[in-house]
Parts: sequence; structure tokens; C-alpha cells
Amino acid sequence: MNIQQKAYSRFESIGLPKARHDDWIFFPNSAFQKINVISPEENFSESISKEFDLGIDTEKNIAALIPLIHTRNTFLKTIDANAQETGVLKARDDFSHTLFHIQKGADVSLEILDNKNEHAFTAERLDFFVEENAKLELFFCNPLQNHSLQFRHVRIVAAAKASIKILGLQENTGCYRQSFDLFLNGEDSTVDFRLLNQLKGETEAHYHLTIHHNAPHTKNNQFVRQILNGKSHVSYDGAVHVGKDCTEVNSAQLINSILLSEEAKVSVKPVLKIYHDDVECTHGNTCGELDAESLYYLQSRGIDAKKAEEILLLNFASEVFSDLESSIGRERILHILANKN
Amino acid sequence: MLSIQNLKTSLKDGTSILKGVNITVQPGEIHAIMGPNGSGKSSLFKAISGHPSYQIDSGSVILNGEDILGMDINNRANAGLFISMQYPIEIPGVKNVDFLRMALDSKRAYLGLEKIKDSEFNQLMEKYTSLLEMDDRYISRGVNEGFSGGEKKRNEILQMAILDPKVACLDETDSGLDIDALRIVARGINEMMTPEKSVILVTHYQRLLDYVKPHFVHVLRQGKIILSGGPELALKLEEQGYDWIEEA
Ligand SMILES: Nc1ncnc2c1ncn2[C@@H]1O[C@H](COP(=O)(O)OP(=O)(O)OP(=O)(O)O)[C@@H](O)[C@H]1O
Ligand SMILES: [Mg+2]
Repeated sequence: MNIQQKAYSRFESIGLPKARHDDWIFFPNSAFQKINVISPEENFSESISKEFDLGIDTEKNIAALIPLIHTRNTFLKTIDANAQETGVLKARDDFSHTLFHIQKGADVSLEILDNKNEHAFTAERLDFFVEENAKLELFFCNPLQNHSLQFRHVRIVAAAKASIKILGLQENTGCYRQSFDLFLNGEDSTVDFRLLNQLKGETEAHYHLTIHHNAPHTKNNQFVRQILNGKSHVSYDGAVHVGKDCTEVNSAQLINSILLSEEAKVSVKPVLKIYHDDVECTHGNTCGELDAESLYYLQSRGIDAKKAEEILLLNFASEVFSDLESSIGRERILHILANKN
Repeated sequence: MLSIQNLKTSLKDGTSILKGVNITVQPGEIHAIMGPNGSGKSSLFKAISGHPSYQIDSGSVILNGEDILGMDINNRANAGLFISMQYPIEIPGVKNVDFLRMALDSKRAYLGLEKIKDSEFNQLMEKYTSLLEMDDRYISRGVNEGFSGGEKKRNEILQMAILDPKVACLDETDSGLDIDALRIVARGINEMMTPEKSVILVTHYQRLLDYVKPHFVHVLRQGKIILSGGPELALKLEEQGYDWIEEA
């Protein structure tokens, strides 16, 4: 069986999520009507080598399977050991699959561009196999774009001392769900996940992040903020699994939301953790408005209310990225934020 | 000139805070307001500056002929009112120097002036940071970010100096200052005093008044000025506290 067929048979056995499915609890059920999965064409030839296990047999997420079933081919790319690369990833078809093999010690920064197809439903899957000591930065900060329904699934497998950074500025409209399946399989591998949602209208943005700590001394940091207007809705489900014998694991999650309208909504799933004593974990989740004392302070120095609000919102937004080391993604996103107003 | 007449304020829940305050401060005058904790000193400053927690029930606040109670918070500042906060807040992420410049340009826009030029602004900064003996941290860091209590107070005085207000209301600017800082801050206040300007100091202690000499001293208690006098009143309060006043 090729990948397409394998993915299809897995899809058939799990089916579309039922209402109240735990992983889709915040997702608007009506959107499923746009999804039509058909049996893959017979004549498709497959070229991904066996060394890359995509985890299809145990996959529970349809968003990870659908791009594999419907894609016309996998875009495969190898980054050589110790190479430095920057690039953009852009899906041209409604359904696409990309696989990066990042070899030892490589240093890679990739920008994920949005699929410009304005079709009823698009889905993409990005796989990264990151070898020892390699660095991967993935970022997205697309200008406003409307998605009728979009899935993006990112799966990363990290070897020892690999360092993964994912930075996102999300301002799209429409309905989308992004899932991240991150496997910290080697000792001292780390993932830093930073996400800022600035949404309006009836936008539905849903995030599902699962981090598997499969080795000792692995670390994850999740810092997510949103500024929501209109009837926009963000959900965030960040689950952390810590395997047996994985000592000195560190996990931090911070989620802050500012709701600028009465109808905006944020749903955060309580963190699910399977852990033992040797895990250091912190998490926080706040939701509120701009700090009234800060607004007053700025205004008391002559700055008008609107400008004061903009300053504080920009501040709130920039903080998601500002403490990071300088990188292409960080600078790009901070630049976009600072030049908006 | 600042004239506060029969000012009554309350909180949103209806709690009455100021119960008819009258103070008139002429150009060139320094007034000190003293009073027990919780008597309403900070509330007075916040209320006249437009803090949203305080509802004005009656009275007027006239700044150089204009009733400022109907004005937006920012325009009260732009018209020449400055409040140095008892507890200045931190705004990380906004560089102190950018903040100062934004504030100054807001005032200039209000007065119909164009934005300040780089060279002019740098000169101002240079002048006042050296007068107040402030190093680069005050410039490049976020507003009050990680500043100690005393450093925050000194930063308030820097803001005052840059904004050059007509009436400066300084709320316990001396609290938290070390001995040297107190002297330096006092120098900053005296420097800004000219015959056209006025200062109202809220303080608990005589020591600031040794450096910045008030013309009048008022005692605020339970939302009212219960006694006013000359500089000697502060000395008497320092010695005897507030209890004797009711008996008098
Ligand atoms: N925003 C507020 N919310 C609730 N209570 C308030 C508020 N502002 C003032 N108060 C109350 O009003 C009274 C006066 O407070 P204020 O801060 O003006 O006192 P103060 O004279 O400045 O005291 P201190 O010398 O301790 O600084 C206090 O009882 C205080 O608790
Ligand atoms: Mg006070």
C-alpha cells in the first residue's frame, strides 16, 4: 500500500469526528459538511523512503490524514548537515504534503505562506524530521486572507539537542484549525511555541498542540496571546505527554487573552498531562481587558485614549516574541506589528 | 493658576471620598498638602486629572481660566496639569524615551506646534537627565520597567521636567527616595519653579519641605481641608501629629 491508501484506510477506520469529540470540542461542527474525502487514485506512485515514519497507523487526527489522501505528490527536501537555509513554504494545491529532512547541525528558518486558493476546503500537512543539534524555525505571519475552511497539520520529530521554534502571527479570517504534533525524541531537544492571534469578524481559529516528551531533559514552552474583536473565537488545546523514564522534563504554558468585544470568545482546554515527579511544569491562563491604570497613566501624560490603547495592545502583542533571540521570524513579526498602526 | 472649588467626588459604588475641597494656588506658589493615610490626598490628584474611578459630584477645577473637569484626561495634561503618581506603574515594551517624546509631542500638537526636532529633544533630555543625575537605563528601558521605588519617583520628575507643566501635583514624590535622591529630586522641582508656575506637594514628612519651601500648608482629613497655614504648620504636624487639630 502506498501512503495515500494507507492514509485512506486509516481515515475510514476513524471517520469524521463525532459531535463532542474531545479533540474537536470547540470546533464548529457545521464545518465538517465542507469535507469530502474520496478514495485515492490507483495509479499514484509513492516515493517517500521507509526511514520516515509518518505515524499513519496510529494517527487519530483526520487533519493529518486528509492532505496525504488527496495530495498529488509529496514535496521532499533534504537540508544537508550543518547547512544554513532560509526559505518559504507555499502550498499551491488544495491538498498538499511537504516533508523536510533536516540533517545534523543544520540551521533552518522557514516561512509558511498561506495557500491562496479560495476553495471551500484546503488542507496541508508539513512533516519535519530534525536530526541532532539541528535548529528549525518555522513561522507564519500572512497578511489578511479568508479561509472558508483550512486545516494545517505540522508534525515534527526532533532528535537529541534539536531546537524547534514555531512563531505565528495570525490575522486571517474564516475558519481554520492548525494542529501540531511534536515529538521530542532525543535528550535535550526543545520546542518554543509562540502564537499571537489578532482576529475579528466571525473568524474561528482552533489550535491543537500535542507535545510528546519522549526523552529526558526535554523542554517545551508555549506562549499564546490573543486580541479578539467582533465574534471571533479562538480555542487552544495544548496537551503535554511525558513518557516513562523521561526525567527532568520542563513544560511551561502561558495563555493571555484580551477580548475587545462582548461577543469574542476564547476557549482554553485545561492542560492534560501524563507525568511523574520529575517534571517541572507551570501554566497560566488569563483573560481580560486592557489595564485601566496603564491607560490612565498614558493619558495623564497627554497621550489620547485611542493612541494609549494602541500602545498597550502593541505592547501586549509584542511581548509574545520580544524576549526571543533575534531571528528572521521574530524580526519579521515584530516589524509587522510595529508598522501596523 | 489652579482653583479647586467645593470639589466632591465619590467612587462608583457611591462611597464619598472628597467632601468639598477648596484650594486656590496662585502662580509662583508652592502648596503642601498633608494628612493621615486614607484622607483622600491621592484621590484629590487623581480626580482632578480625570481618573475614571472617581465620579465628580459637584464643584469646579479651573486651570488658568479653563474648567478642566469636562476635558479628556490627556487634554488636562496638555493644558498644563501634571500629576506625579504615588505609585507609578510599569509599561514594559514602551521605551521610556519614546514615551517621553510621545507625551511631549501630544502636548505640542495640542498647542498647535509641530513635533519636536531630534536635536531639540536630545538637548532637553540631556539637560534634565544630568540635572536629575539619571543614567542611560532611564532612557532605553521600558517605562519604569524594573525600576526601584525611588527610581520610579525620579522618572516622574523627569517627565514633569520634560513636559514643563503650569501646575505640578506631586504625590509623595519623597517617599522611597534615599537621602541623595531626595536632594536631587528637590533640585528638579526648584528648577522648574518660575513665577508663572505652581506646585502642590503631598507629603508625610517635613524633610522634603526643607528643600522645597512651601508658601502654604493644608491638612486634608476625611476628604476635607480642615486646617491651612504657613510653613510652620508642617513643623508642628511633624512634632505633634494630627490629633490636636480637632481639639483646636
Ligand atoms: N479607586 C478606589 N477604590 C476603592 N477605594 C478607594 C479608591 N480610591 C480611594 N479609595 C479610598 O479612599 C480613601 C482615600 O484614599 P487615598 O488614596 O486618596 O488616600 P491618601 O490620603 O492618598 O492616603 P496615603 O497617605 O496612604 O497615600 C481610602 O480609604 C481609600 O481606600
Ligand atoms: Mg496617597
